[in-house]
Amino acid sequence: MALVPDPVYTVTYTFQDETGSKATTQAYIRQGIVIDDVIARANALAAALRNVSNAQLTGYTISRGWTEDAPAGAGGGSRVERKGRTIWLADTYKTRIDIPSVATGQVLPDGALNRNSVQFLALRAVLLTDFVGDFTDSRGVSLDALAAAYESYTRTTPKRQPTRKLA
Amino acid sequence: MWRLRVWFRDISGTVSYTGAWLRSPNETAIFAFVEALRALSDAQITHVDVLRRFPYASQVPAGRDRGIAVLVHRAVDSFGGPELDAFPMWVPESGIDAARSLWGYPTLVQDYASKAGYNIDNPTPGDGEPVSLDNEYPDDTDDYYLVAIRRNFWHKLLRDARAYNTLSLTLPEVQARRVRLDIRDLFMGVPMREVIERLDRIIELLEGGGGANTDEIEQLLLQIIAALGST
Repeated sequence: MALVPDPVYTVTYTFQDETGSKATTQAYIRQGIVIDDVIARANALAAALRNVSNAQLTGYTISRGWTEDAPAGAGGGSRVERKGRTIWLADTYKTRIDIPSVATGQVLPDGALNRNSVQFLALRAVLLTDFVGDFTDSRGVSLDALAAAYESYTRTTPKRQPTRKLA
Repeated sequence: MWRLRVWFRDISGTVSYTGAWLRSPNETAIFAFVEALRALSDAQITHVDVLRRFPYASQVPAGRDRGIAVLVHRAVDSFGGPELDAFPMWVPESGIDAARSLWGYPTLVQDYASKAGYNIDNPTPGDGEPVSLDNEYPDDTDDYYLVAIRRNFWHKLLRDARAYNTLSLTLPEVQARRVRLDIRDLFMGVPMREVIERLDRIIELLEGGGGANTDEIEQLLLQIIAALGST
């Protein structure tokens, strides 16, 4: 059971023509080079694409993925709609990280998550102390405290429902 | 900021993800985060991705009907080695002459790869003649193939491909599979010479088949060949 990296970074370029119609094209950059070099190559190709297209190049997205080679399998009774909702502070602003199908053993009778469990303390350490400055809110401000942790529920969109819907 | 997404699937097959923001795609931090989540959830983690969007200051769009250029590159394991994969790249609002020079701009030509991770082999113009259906079919010595498809024709091709898929249901299974594979290849951007050769073979197959609506299929396929030849 390990996360296996995809062989490439995917760069998706988005274009817009004068009517407002949008289009995308993709290029791939091999793994194994530092991220600054990946960005440099994606940016260089953006300049080339801009020059060969009449459309406006509005931007590009760099993505990288890992896939579980041998997933352990979901636990009995697991439901991703049941979330462990954690709220973190980043210089007084709040940001949310949900835990899909939070293990029932992590939920206290009053609905709060057990903040003193070994597993929760490990998550807290990753976000706040082990990698200081790496985890941020959407503005880029580092996470610095836990504000809340509780069980919550959310709906599932049709696209994410299982394909087999009949017993 | 980089957006990290960790994807889960529960016992019912329902999928969900959770996300976090990262200052950089630090693999050690990502893996530590994933392991912490794994210990807290009883759903299974299926995959992880991290992405970031970069805005780009470009020119004002000028045009809407120049068409789409398709560059199909050879991809190899080692430079100069045998062709193991192909990398089609679609350039909107571009024509043959413009797209032909794509790799001529001072890009850092190394480290670009096909989706499967094979290297794009010497993507520099002048080393092997880039060709299009304007002049000749590509051959094995070319570094990349170039096909331009006009916008209007592209819409027509999409419409016709759907028709082929429908018509293929009337064929015996072997022939139907052949038609579907070739239609898929059209979209994948295989060398046009191969596509056209296959289309020729489809017509031969259909002419030899029984019970199929061969006249209509043949007419549609001939339309594709004629349109490709006129680009």
